[in-house]
Amino acid sequence: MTTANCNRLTEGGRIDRGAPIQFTFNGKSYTGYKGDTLASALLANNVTLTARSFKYHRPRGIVGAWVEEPASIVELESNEQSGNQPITTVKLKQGLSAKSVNCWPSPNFDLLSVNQLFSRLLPAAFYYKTFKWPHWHWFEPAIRRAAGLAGAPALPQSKDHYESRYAHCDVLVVGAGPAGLVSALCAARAGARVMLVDDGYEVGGTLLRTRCELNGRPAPHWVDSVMAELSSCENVTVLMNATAWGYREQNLVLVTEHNPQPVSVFKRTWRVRAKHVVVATGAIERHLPFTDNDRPGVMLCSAVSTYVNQYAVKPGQQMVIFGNNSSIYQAAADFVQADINIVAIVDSRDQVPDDERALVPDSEILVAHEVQRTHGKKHITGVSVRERNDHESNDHSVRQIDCDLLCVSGGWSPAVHLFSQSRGTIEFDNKLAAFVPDKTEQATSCIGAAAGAFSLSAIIEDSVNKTQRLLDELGFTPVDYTLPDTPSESPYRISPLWFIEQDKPNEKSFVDLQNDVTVNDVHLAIREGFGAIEHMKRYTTTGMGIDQGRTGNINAIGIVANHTGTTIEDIGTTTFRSPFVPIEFGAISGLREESVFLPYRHTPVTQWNKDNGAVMYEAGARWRRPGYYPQGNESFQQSVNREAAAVRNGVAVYDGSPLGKFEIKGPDALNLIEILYTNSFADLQYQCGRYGLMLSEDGLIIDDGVTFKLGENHYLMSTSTGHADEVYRHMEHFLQIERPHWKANITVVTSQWANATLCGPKARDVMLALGCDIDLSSPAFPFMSIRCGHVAGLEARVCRVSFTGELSYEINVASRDLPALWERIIAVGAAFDLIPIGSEANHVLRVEKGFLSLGHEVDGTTDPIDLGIGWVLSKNKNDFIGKRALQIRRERQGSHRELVGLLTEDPNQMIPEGAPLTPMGEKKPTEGLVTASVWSVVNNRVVSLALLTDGRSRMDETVFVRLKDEVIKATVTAPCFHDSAGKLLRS
Amino acid sequence: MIHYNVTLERQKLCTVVELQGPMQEVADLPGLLPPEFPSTPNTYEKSPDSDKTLYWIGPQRWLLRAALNQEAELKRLLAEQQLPDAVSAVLVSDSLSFFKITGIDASAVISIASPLDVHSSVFPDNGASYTEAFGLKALVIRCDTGTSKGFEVVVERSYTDMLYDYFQRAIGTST
Repeated sequence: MTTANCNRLTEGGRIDRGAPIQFTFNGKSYTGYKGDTLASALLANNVTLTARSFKYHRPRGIVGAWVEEPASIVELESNEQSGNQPITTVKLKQGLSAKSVNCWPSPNFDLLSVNQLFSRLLPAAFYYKTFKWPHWHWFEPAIRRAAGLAGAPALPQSKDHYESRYAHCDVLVVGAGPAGLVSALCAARAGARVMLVDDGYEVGGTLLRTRCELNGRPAPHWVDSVMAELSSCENVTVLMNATAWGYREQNLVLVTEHNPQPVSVFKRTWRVRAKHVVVATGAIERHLPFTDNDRPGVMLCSAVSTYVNQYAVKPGQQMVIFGNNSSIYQAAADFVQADINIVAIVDSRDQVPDDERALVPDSEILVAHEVQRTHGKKHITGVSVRERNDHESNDHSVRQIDCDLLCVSGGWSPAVHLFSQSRGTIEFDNKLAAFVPDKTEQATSCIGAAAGAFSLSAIIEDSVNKTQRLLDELGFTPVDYTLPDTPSESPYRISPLWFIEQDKPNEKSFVDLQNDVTVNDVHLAIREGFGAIEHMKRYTTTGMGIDQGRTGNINAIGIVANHTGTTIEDIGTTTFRSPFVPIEFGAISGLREESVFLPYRHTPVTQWNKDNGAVMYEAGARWRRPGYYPQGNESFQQSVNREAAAVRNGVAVYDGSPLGKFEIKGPDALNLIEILYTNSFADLQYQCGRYGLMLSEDGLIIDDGVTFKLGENHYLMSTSTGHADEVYRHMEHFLQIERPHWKANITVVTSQWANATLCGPKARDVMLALGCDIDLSSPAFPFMSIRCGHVAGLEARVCRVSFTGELSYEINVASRDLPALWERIIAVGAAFDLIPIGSEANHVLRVEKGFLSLGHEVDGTTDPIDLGIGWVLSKNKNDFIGKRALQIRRERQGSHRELVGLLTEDPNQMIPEGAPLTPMGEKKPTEGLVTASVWSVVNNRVVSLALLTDGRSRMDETVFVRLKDEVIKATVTAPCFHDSAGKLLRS
Repeated sequence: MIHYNVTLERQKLCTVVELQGPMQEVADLPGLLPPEFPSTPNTYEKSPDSDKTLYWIGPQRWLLRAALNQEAELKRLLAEQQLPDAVSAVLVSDSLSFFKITGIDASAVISIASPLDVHSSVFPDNGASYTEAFGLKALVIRCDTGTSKGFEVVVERSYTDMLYDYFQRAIGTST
């Protein structure tokens, strides 16, 4: 039984001992303090077994202190539900509840630890080789259940408001350590708009984690003074606990705030567009691969420093330090001050300079030694240390040292992830034994430790110099900055060490603790031909997933270099991907969910349609329209039949508001229409309309519609609903790029004029009953003409066009007037048995007539001749868009798919739209497809349209629709099943 | 839960005319426009009594806005017969929906909606620019009048409900 906070130091740290916090981990209650992370609070409570490993289910503890944590991932529960959070980044909150992943029922007793017995059968990529027969998918579900990290949260979060927003600045500084703070301060003083983001809960970075001084005072005092000045600047925005995790083109950086204000916002992602990005992301300490280096109690040296200095936690009593670089001595000096007993410092370098020794004069230093292995079961109890093989003394005796904490430092890697995402190049620095930034691709500067400057004075100087330079480039006048006094430091010295030779081949030295990748796995990958670093990464999974190789990637590269006799420079690195840390999908998508997941558009009578039982769904270009209006217990088909019959036999009204509408004005308006459409409009008379077909440059149909002449140099063009936006782009592109000198202006009036379409033999009667000052007689107002006047007392443009094949009036009124007009039509129409109809009935009616529909017959592969409307191609016009391409297409020898009608052998048999036609219904290359199939109320049977190879020459032939379970026979007919002469629509 | 301290209002219908054509010819339209013609793209000018506003929204493209009761008169003045050949004036009052968002957090809500940089150094007091709002084509207008500071967001009318839905979600007033 351990005492609460038994590992807590009595003083120091940045926690608030007056603010205790209760939390639960794996079902047990603990107490921490405000300012703790979950990891620091658990270590303070002497909880060191915090997870099980991904594959072998080995006991794992806390290794790091922040995002570099590779071993302990937790799942947060209740109100903070979230999977796969590094235990070290979880802020301690009252009532926090978390549990370990990769174990059941607990990390202390995990049933799947049985995997360790079979670990020799589970090398890298074992499942690719082992589970081939009878099929991988037989085993996949079980393997995925056994592996994997936390599951997705099962219940909606009670606090699930995600947000994303945009921001702009002159200088974005990523990282608020010493380099970032100085850079932000210089930029702010110069008057630049500055954004400073840091992923920590406090600014200061490494200054909070070590016992260093600036200007003769503890560094946090300097941090506070800088922040006070930055906070007082209106031109500075500071985001705390915000991770810059993605760097895109044109200096767009994605930043997610993990605990934003107001608290009702769960996560917030910023899309920051900066004129210059300063990467001050510091450096990450590397682990070292040696036998059983994953045992709980083995921690990164910098992490222990952080726990001691920032959280006042002593993770162990008897410490061994193992490293290959000078940084361990400063850390050791801190530990001595914290009253931790350093049993030994194991330094793999051949020599330790006096200035480093002087930092820990009373500690035993084992020079040119290495930790060969750790001992213990669920926690480290000791290490085996030996002299390095390559050392001249050649003493291979192994010494066992008892300890409960092993601090490891394999050197420091500048955190170049973000810089690399910016497409900047990196190069290997032999002196630092690390990859450092090389050439920039965007307006980016790496400063401080992220640029390979590891001493405090060098970090600050580097930051000042580079920031002054970038400010000058941005046009700001840099303000002089007085460098703070920094303590004298030992220079950074390192002797590369990528792994320690194992005694036995079956031992496990982990390179990637998160993915359970060992040195042996890397060797296996090389033996099996996957030695190229990108191949090795995928074969072994090292550096993949959440970890992104923060602590182990370069070790893996070093192992490959050692094994293949090449250099690290020659091998290079794998791709640094975003996100740098796990980011919730919700934080990326922001508000875009539920009703606004996709855009939607409403007409002025949408509410009426909803109130009157219409079944609404999208019908092109994001318009929500009524599909049909079921009555009583009607089925879908019964509703559609009733609505279609009303149009054929009586009268109905249809909400045609979404139809694309454009007013085209100017001296070159006709020229524009002539070049856009395949037929001529030159002789179009005032108040008359003409059907037109628009082709793309490659001669294929992009849209059709009717254009009316409203006045001299003034036209009203209508387009299909679904392609209105595309047609507008097409027209503006042509005007702005191809004919910028033309005087033609296009105004979108789709929503200016809303439209109720009366259709059916009694449409004229209803128009008269509504009250209309337009002469509606056929001679005065013929088919394909437009009249301006008043309908039901409302100013209206009335068009005589028809998409149903019946007498139709499209009554266009200002959108504000449509609800009134609609109500009036419904009221007046009652005497004529008028009903509203939806798009489903409209579809039936147009198929009966063989009218084209975009997305069905016009599917981006057809030209006008294929569809039997070659008459719409003018032979007299000099040019129209797509003319040349169409000529070439038609001159080509070979078959074309042509529009035909189909009548199924069984008149009741519907054909699924899109169903293929194949010769004799056999499994052969398709000779066409069914574009539409409906129950025809006028024919009392199913009728269909199809695109069939050489279809027009195959009339009366039997063709075969090949479905999965059956073959449907059908007879080829003309593609019109009702009023082929078109008398009704002209009536 | 309310996230931001703002007031969101859907503006009443007003008269809006889209003007297109060469700048000089549009500027010379007699008696129609505010006395000051916008001198910088993406800005607007109001008449002294604020009854008309002219927004410069694109190359050779402006929006003239006035109260709804001026619609008939404007239509009469802008009739085709009275305009130069190269100038087009089309009534679009019903095409657009205007939302006004004011309050101390108005800029924050706009930054959720739109990628437009509305910092005062780049988007002046009379700024008006087409951009995106929640992924939709939208005109964003700065409208600081006295103590009421904020923005107007203008979208195609068919998106009215969706924009309102989005704004409510952003502000936290969605039910």
